[in-house]
Order: sequence, then C-alpha cells, then structure tokens
Amino acid sequence: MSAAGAADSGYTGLEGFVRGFFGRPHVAKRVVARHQKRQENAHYPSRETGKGESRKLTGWAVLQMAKFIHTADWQIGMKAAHVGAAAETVRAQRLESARRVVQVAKEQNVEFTVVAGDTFEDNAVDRVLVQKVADILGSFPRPVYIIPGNHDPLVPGSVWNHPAWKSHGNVYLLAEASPLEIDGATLYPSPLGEKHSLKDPTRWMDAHDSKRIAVGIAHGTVEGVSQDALDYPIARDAATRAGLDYLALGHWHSTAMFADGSGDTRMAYSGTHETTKFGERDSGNVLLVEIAERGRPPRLTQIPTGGFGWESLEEDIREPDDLTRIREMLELKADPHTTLLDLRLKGVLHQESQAELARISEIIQARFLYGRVDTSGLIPRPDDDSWLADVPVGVMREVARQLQRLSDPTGTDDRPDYATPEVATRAMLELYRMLQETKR
Amino acid sequence: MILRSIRVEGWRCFVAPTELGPFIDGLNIIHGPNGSGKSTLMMALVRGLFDGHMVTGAEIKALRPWGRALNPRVAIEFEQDGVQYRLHKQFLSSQTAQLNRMENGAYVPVAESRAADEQARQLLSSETPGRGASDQRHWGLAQILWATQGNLRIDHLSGGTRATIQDALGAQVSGPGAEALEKRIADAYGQFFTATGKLKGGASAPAVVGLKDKLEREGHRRDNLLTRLEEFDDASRRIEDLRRQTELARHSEEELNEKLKQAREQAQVYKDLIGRQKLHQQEVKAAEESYRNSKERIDAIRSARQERHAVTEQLKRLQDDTPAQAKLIEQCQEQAEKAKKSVEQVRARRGEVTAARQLARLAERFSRTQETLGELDELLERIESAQQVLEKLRTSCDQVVAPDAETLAKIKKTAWTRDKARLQLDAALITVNILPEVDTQVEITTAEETGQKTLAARRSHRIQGAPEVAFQIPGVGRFQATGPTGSVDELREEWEKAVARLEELTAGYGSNDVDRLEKLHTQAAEMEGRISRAEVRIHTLLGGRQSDELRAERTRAASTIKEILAARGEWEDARPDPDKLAQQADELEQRFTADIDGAEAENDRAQNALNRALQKQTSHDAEVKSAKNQIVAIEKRLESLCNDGLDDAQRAAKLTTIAIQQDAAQAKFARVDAQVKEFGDDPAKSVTVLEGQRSAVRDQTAEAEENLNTEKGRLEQITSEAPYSGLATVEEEIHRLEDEIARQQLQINAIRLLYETLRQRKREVMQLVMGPVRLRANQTFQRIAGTRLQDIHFGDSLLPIGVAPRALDEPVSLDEISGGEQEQLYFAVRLALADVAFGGERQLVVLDDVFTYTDTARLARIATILDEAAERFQMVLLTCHPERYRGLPRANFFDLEKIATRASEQQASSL
Repeated sequence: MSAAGAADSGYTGLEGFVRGFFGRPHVAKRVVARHQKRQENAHYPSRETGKGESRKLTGWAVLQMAKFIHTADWQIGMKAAHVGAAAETVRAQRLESARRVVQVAKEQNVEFTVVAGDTFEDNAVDRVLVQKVADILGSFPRPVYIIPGNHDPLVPGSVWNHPAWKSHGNVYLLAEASPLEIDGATLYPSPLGEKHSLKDPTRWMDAHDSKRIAVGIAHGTVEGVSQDALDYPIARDAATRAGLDYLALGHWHSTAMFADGSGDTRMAYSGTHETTKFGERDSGNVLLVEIAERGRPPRLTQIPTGGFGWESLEEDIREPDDLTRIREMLELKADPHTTLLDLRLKGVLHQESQAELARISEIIQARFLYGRVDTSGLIPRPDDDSWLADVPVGVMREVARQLQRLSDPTGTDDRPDYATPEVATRAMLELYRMLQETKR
Repeated sequence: MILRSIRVEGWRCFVAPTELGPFIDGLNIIHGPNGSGKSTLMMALVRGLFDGHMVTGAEIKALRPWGRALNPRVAIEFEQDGVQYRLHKQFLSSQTAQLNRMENGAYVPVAESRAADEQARQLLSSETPGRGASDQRHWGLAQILWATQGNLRIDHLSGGTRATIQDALGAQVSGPGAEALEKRIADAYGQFFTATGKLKGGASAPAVVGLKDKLEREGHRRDNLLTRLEEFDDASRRIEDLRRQTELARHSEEELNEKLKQAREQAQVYKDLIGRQKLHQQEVKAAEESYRNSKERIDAIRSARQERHAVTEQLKRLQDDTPAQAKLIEQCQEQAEKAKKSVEQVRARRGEVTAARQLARLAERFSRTQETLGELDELLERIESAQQVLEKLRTSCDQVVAPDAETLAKIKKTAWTRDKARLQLDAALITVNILPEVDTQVEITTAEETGQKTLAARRSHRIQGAPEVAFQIPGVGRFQATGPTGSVDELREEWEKAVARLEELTAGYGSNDVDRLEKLHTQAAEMEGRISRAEVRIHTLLGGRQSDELRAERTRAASTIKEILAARGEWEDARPDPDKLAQQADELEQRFTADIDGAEAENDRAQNALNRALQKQTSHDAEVKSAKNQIVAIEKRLESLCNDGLDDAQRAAKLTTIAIQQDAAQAKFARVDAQVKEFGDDPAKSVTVLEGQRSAVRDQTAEAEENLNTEKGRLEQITSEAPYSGLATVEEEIHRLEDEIARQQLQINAIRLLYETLRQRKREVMQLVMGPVRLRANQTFQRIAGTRLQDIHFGDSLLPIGVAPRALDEPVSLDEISGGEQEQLYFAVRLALADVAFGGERQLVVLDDVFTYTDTARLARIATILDEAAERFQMVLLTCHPERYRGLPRANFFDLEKIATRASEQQASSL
C-alpha cells in the first residue's frame, strides 16, 4: 500500500498515516506505540485534520529548539547527456554525495533531516537506485522527512511504492498536506502529486496559532526566480504569511535564501547536493538550519557536499600567448580528476597556435574527469598571412586565401551549404597541418 | 640557357676527349651515322647538368666505355642570363664537380662538389633527383625543351615545372611543392569519398557512417523508452482514475441498497392490494355468472317452445303433399318407355345405308380396273415395236467389220512408223537415176531389185541399193555406184517390222489402207449409236420395270374385272356410274342420321323428367323425417331445461335476487381497484430496475478492480524495466555519438571543402593558362599537318590529352592518330609551351632524332618551322639525316663522326 493509499485505507489518525505508508499493520502499530510511549497526553488527529488540529509524531523529548539539515533535489538517476563517457561516473557521484549529506547530518548532530522534493530524477528510475537511496537515508540514526517533488510525485507506480522504504524506520514520507507534530517542532509538508501545477503548495499552511516551532517543507518556484515555465509558484513572503519559522524549499538547484521584510531569512532553497550541469552556480550544498525558539529567525549555514567541480571557462584569445596562458592555467588546476571542464575559446586564431591548441586539448582529455573545448568561436586572424608564405604559390595559395575568406562569418563569398565558417577554418587548419607534414 | 660547347671523355663511345662547339645561338645540327654517339652526347649533357657528381648505380656505371675502367667526364660551357659558365663533372671514381664563371675573360671557380651540383640546378631551375640518377622529372624546363631519341611525347611534367610554366604564362596553377600537398589532399579526400564524390560505403566507409547507423539505432531505442515512459505515466494516471471509479461505484452501490430496501416495502403493500383486488374481482365474476345462467335458462325454455310449434306446422304441410308426388312419378315413367321404343325402331334402318355404300365402292373399283387394263395393253404394244427395231439394228451392225478406236490408233501409228522407215531407207540407199534416150536393157547385179530390167526411153528410172549399186548396160558398160556404208540394214529391218505389224493389225478387216479402215470405223460407230438410242427408248417405256411384270399386272387387272362381272353381271352390258351410286348412298345415310338424332333426344328428355320426379319424392320424404326428429329433440331439451324444480314465476324471482348480489360485489372491487391505481406502476418493477442497477454497479466495481489490478501489473512491469534509467543511458550515448559525429563530420567537410576548392581553382586557372598555348600549338600543328586535325585539347597537367578532327566537336585520343602525327603534335606543343612560357628569352632546345615517322613533305615544313624557331631559340638537332636540313642557310652543322675520329687520332698521336 502506498502512502497515498493510507487515506484510502479507512484507518484514521497516526495509525492510518503510518500504516498507509508502511503498509503492514504490525509495523504501523510499532511505530505508533514508540511515539505514544513518550507522549502520554498525545492526541491523534482524525483523518480530516482541521485547522488547529495536527497530527503528532513526537520523539523522545520535547525540544525547545530545532536543528536540522535541509537538502533537496538529489535528482538520483539523472541523465548526464552532455558529459560523454563520464556520464555514469557523474550519476554515481550523486549517490556518493548523498552519503556525504548523511555524514554532514551526523557530524552536525542534527535532530532530523528534511529532503524537500526531487530525491529522484524520475519515478521510472531503476529500483536498485531506490534501494540505495533508502539505505543511505536509513543509515542516518535520526528521522528523515521526505516530500515527493515534481520529478518524483506521489502517484501510482512512483518510487515511493518501493518496499525499500519499509526497511528503515527512521525514514518518513510525508504524504499528506497537513501539520505533523514531531519532537520540538511542527512540520507543514506539502507533498506533490503531479508533475506540473500552478497551485501554490504553501497556500494551505497556517502556523500563526502554533506555539511550536513551525517548519514548512515545499517544492516549487519562488516568485522572481527565473524559470522557463512557472510550476508550483510560491509567494516570496510565503514563510511569513504562513507564520512559519522556516520554509525549506526544493526545486531550484542553486542555494538561495530569501529575506523577509524585516531582513530575516525564513525561507531558502538548499540547492542540489551535487551540481547537475555546467553553468549551475552555487550548487552542491546543504543547509544547516538552527531555530532557537518559536519566532526567532533561523540561523542558516551553507555546507558544501558536492564531489565534482563543474567549471565553465570562456577565454578570449587575442594573441598566441593567450593560449599558452590558458594551457599553463589548466596544468596548474587542482583536482582535475574530479573536475568537469567546459572550455570555450573565442577570438582570433593564429596559425602558429595550432600546436598550443592541440596541447590544451590533450591535457584536458588526459587529466580531467571530463572536458570539452569549443573552438567554434575562434576565427583565423584576418591579417595573418604569414603562414601563406609557406603555401606553394599558384593554386594552392589561392585555395588557402579562399578558405581564409570562407572562414570569416561576415564574408560575402559564395559558399557550398556545408562550408560554414567553422568548416572553412577547419579546412584551413587541415591545409596548414598537411603543409607542415610535407615539410618534414 | 644557351649551350656553347660540350666536351666528353671516357664516356661510352667517346673514349678520347671529344669536344663540340662552339654552338651558335640559332640552329645547330649534329649529324652522324647510327652509333656515332649522338644520343650519348645528349645523355652527357643531361648527366652533366642535372645529376649529382656523386651519383652511383648501374645506370652511371654503364657510362664507361666498354671494357675500360675510365671515369666519365663532361665539361659544359653555357650561358645563363647573359653570364657564361663552365661546369665540369667526373663520375664514378675521383668524382669531382666544379662550376666556373667567366669573369673578365677567364673562368673562375664559383662552386665545387655538391655546391656545384646544387648551383647548377638552381641556375637551370631543375629539381634534386634524390639518391639515384636523374630522370625527366628532374630536368626542370628541359622537360619540354629537350626530347630524347625518338621520343617527342611528354608523359609527365613535374609540379615545379608546371608552376614555372604557369608563372611564366602569367597565371598560377601550382607552385613548387604543391604536387605533394595536392597528393595529400587527394589522399585525405580519398579516405572519405569515392572518385565520384560520394561518401564511401561498405567496408571502406569512414567511421562516421557506422556512427550514424549506431545513432539511428540508439534513436530507435530512445523512442521505445520514451514510449514506455508515456505508458508508465498513462498506467499511473489510469490507476488513479480506476481507484476513483471504484470508490464512486461503492458509493453508488450503498445508495442503491437503500433505495432497494424502500422499493421492496412498497412492493409488498402493492402485492397485498392486488390480492384483495383479485378476490373481489372473482366475487363479481361469480355473481355475473349466476345471473347469466338463470337468464339464459329462462330464455332457452321460451325459445324451445316457439321452435317446437314451428316444426309441427311444417310437418303437417309436408304430409299433405305426398299423394301428388306419387302421381307425377307414374306419368314420367310412361313417357320414358315410349321414347325408348322409338329409338330402337330408327336404329333398325342402319343395314340399308351400309349396302348402298358397298355398291358404290364396287362400281368405283370396276371402273378404275378397266382403265388400267387398257393402259397396259397400249404400253406392251409400243415396247414390242421398239424391240423389233433394235433387233434389226443389231443385225446390220454385225455385218460391218471395222477396227475399234484403240485398234485404229495402233494401225495409224504403225503405218506412220512404216512410212517413216521407208523414207529413211530410201534416203540411205545409193540411188542412180537414169533417163535413157532410147529403151535400154539393163542387167542389175547389185541393188535393191536385181536382174534385168528394161528402161523405157525418155522416162526416169531409179536404181537403188546399198552399200553399192551395180548394173551393166550391154554395149555400154558396167556401172557401179558406191557410197558410204551405214544403217541401211537397220532401217530396212525397222521398215519390215512395221510392215509386218501393220499386216498383223489389219488382217481381219480386208484392207491395210488406213483411210479405208478409218471409214469403216466411222460407219460402225454410227450403227452402235442408233442401237444405243433404241435401247434407251425401250428402257424409257418400261419405266424401270420388266416387261414380265407389266404382263403380270395386266393379268391381275383382267382377273379383277372377271370377278366383279361374276357378281354384277348387268355391268357387262351397262357399265355402272360410280359417282351416282356414291351420291345415293350419301343421301340414304343423311336421312338415317337425322331420324336417329331426333329419337334419341326425345328419349333423353323423358328420362330426365322421370329422374327429377324421383328426386323430388326422395327429398320430400327426408323433410318429413327431419321434422319429426326435430320435434323429438326439442321435447328432450325442454325436459332438460325444466328439470330445476321451478316454475316460470319462481325462475323470475330467483333472477332478481342474483342481480342484487352482483351489484354488491362490484362496489367492493371498485374500492380496492382505486387503491391499486394510486400506486401507478407496480413497485416490483422499480425493485427489478434497482436490482439491475446495483448489479451493474457491482459489475463496474469488479471490472474497475480487475482493470486496476491489470494496470498495477502493467505498471510494475514497466517500473521493473526502469525506462528512465535506460533513457538516461541511451540519451547519454546519443549525445556522445552526436558529438563524435559532429567532430568527424567537421573533419570530413573540411577535407571536402579543401579538395573541392582546390579542384575548382585549378579548373579556373587551367582555363586561363592554356588558352595561348592551345592557340599557338594548333597553329604550328596545322602548318605541318594541315587542317584535318584542328584543335588540340589539354588536360590539367598542361599536357595534350586529345585532338579534335575537323568533322567532330569531340576530341579523339592521341593514340588514335598516326605515329607521325603524334610526333608533329608533340613537337608543336613543345614549341608552343616554350614560346608562351619563355616569350623572348632564348633557351636551348635539343631534339635527338625525333622525327622517326614523319614523311619527307612534312619534314620539309618542319625544317622551315625549325629555321623560324632558331630565331627565338637555340636549336640543337641530333640527326643521321643531315641532308634534310641542308637547305637551311643559317644552320651550323657538326659532323660527329669526323670530330670523334679526329679526337681519337689526336689522342693516339699524343700517346
């Protein structure tokens, strides 16, 4: 039985919630009993939890402060189509970084961990990955609260139906959008049930009357954050409007914090724990959240967890020495074996720089985890006729000049369809290479 | 370059130091017989100028004079750009090379050893031959200016030479070193493309082809996985939908259960009312039945009584009619008997009619037989007469003996044979005609007819015989006439045979005269014709019968007449009239028929009347009996109806009581019926409908649950396949392949662009360059060979590839023209290239005995052209036919044989 199926099962209250999630009555009773034992006066909300009522999932002691790890967007199983043969390594690294998140949580001695959606890239990922993620989260000795995101929404056949989740008692899938009391705080989770929606997932949250530390968990797009298509919009003042002490957000892969009108930061994206692509800035982190008491602004600490560096370099080439400088810079680069490099060169290309360019390419391929060199922005230097002196006079020299003209994107010469400036540049380089070979 | 002199020593046939020169700027002709060393001299020039002095190998060793260990040496004086040089080289042993330059009237060294080799090449724009001896490719411009023995053809021009020529032509095709570069470009292009410019396929296809195939396969895999992902989403959504459907179905079932409970209660109430309604309805029916029964009994009693009265009245009337019926029958029987008797009387007259008819038929037969008898008698008489005529003809014919047509023909043929034989025999005989003036006795001793014969005076006599005729005329002498011997005997034998055969054929006819026999034959033929016509007439009269048959028929007719007359003897005197007798018989029969018809009609009418009377009586009896039976039945019915023990008044009172009971029952039924109608339809129907709805909802629920399970199974199946993970891997591979393909495609496109740009530029430049060369070569060639071959075509290599005849637009291959024309064409091309390439710059042209196949007339034209060319070039011709050029006044001749001999003598004297 899925967590979503809990609502359909006919059970009510905590037992219903737990049983719905774990599917086995005896497990559900055990979990409930564990919490009841320490909360004599606890009451359990009915199935239709109303305003002011809340479910309770309390632990060993009622805490006055909350300290937890906020992470999101693990995107396990993600395709890495743009990194060639390193794709499998990049994918495996996301699991490794997940272990690092758990390690950080242990080191920080947090009370619980919140995963704010998109744990998986898709619901149709390999179930072995589901088991691995469940095992990683299960290795954390304290509770882990997860909400499904838009990539892994709670739908039939989702990753959340996998039996792996039943094997770890500390992992809780928050399958209902209703308050849940845990030790020291009340959680306001907003699990997603579909991939796309224009509904604000925090709209239902209202913690104004709560005396407890109120932590919202949601997955969506904060207004003002650039997105191609608006999905699950979240108001910029969602945390203060809902009376939350902190709103843990997922969906945006870069770490981002949003201050309220008084300058306090009560909502933030932790960002993905491991960078997913080139150009993704400030990613590969988790947030350590510490809330001293109800109403006090949380203290947020950004802790890096990413294993691989994704570097995009765009270099402007003016003189042959520029390539030498770049080559030296790459040679000095630390940890190239864990670095993915996207080097884009633009500017003018000197014929005598061919060797340096080839050397740069060799270094990148040999040392870096992955690297690509984009030379399409390089155009042969228009006034660089020095190499033409080596070209045999006559037709060959005319050919070289013709290629030189075709390599100019602004050139007006008639050209075959396939003869783009990039092709012409390459042809010129080939001619230059052959010329050098004939000299040997 | 201008050659001034050449000196060779220890070089093949030139053992002694031999020097030729000075050469003039114009035409120099070195001549000598075969083996005098012309080609050796040219080879010395080539080796000296273009080979490195250190070169080794069998080719160089072969320069030594046979059987001598001398080191070949050559010294060449030449002018280049107005400066005079002397180049000296020694090969094989103690190799040396020295280049000297004339300065202030004396040679001073410029370079030695390899430097001398290299500087000489630079001066002559030649190319380094590498390790071995040079060949034409290394000769620089001499590739076109110099032609070795008998070989004006140019198969190849080095790139450097081509470039030099092209530079000189004012255009640029390819420079030094371009050839190797072009080859690299062509090789690179050939790795990817076929000769026709298509991307290679199959085993030699570039890697990008395989990558594209793989990309396509991966694309299919991606499509399949995307489909599976869509199916995953669909299944997930369907499961959600089915869950909602199941829930809704359960809710609907609960609602239906409640409605069904209420409907069932209403149905029970309705059912009770219907029971009461039926009960009251039965009471009403029972009352109605009782009233109807009583009323019907009263009505039936009254009706039976009325019926009984009517039938009794009818019986009385029938019984009154019975006597009249009996009397009518009696009258009818009398009339019927009378009519029957009348019929029998008429029928007795039938015998008279028959007898009259038989008499008429007999008269008819008698008359017809008599006519037949007369006709037969007449016919038999005519036949008899015709037979008598025939007999007379046959007798006459038998008296004429004549040959038949076949025999006559044989006789004619034999007579002709006899006459012909006689004529031939007469012609073959020696004939002596004698016309005596007086009667003369002659003794014939040898002739056809011998013996003495008197010859009458003044009459011609003939004596014939063979093989000679001999006779004696007494007093006159013996005469003998002879002639050629021959076939007289054979002819005579033939004649005699014919005579004998004719006698044999005509023996029975009394004459062997052919005309007589022919007349006899005609006469016999006429007689036979008349016999034949008489036979035909008899045959016609018989009409296909025999005369005996006719006579038997006549006998039968006579017998019949006799029989009839025996019965009717009166007819012998007075013949009967058959028609009249037949008419009488007809009239008698008509009267009989009319009488019998009338009697029988009367008989039928009487019989019918009797039958009707009998039927009427039978019907009357039946009606009487029926009426009696009806009265009995009515009585019985009345007895049954009145056996209720009531009289008529009591029965009326009972009917009133029953009517009151019926009204009471109907009132009760009306009350219950109104209650039932308040329900409208039977509530049980609603129960049935609701039960059906509930069943349908349960089915829907079951179906939804089944579909749910199916979709769950499907979803689990898809989930287990992990399509997204598969998709991630496939898309990564696709990206990788696309990157690799793009990379390789860039490389391929770059090579293609390089190659095609090169080809295009070469094509353009060639068009430009070859125009003047083509024009000049065509002019020279046409001066030598005429205009039959008009246009020389050149290829990219600057060399001719074909020539267009005047009648054709398309060129033909050079292999298709004669050897002499090939020589002349290449000579013209060489001169054209030299002319266009060097303009006014004088250069050395060397031609070693090259016009091998050219005829004398064209050689004369070539000599003129050479003389003209000598104004622009220094010409050195090596030839064994100096006489061909003797007419050129400005030519400078060198007799190589004399020079070599003098050199040898000088060496010998010096030794």
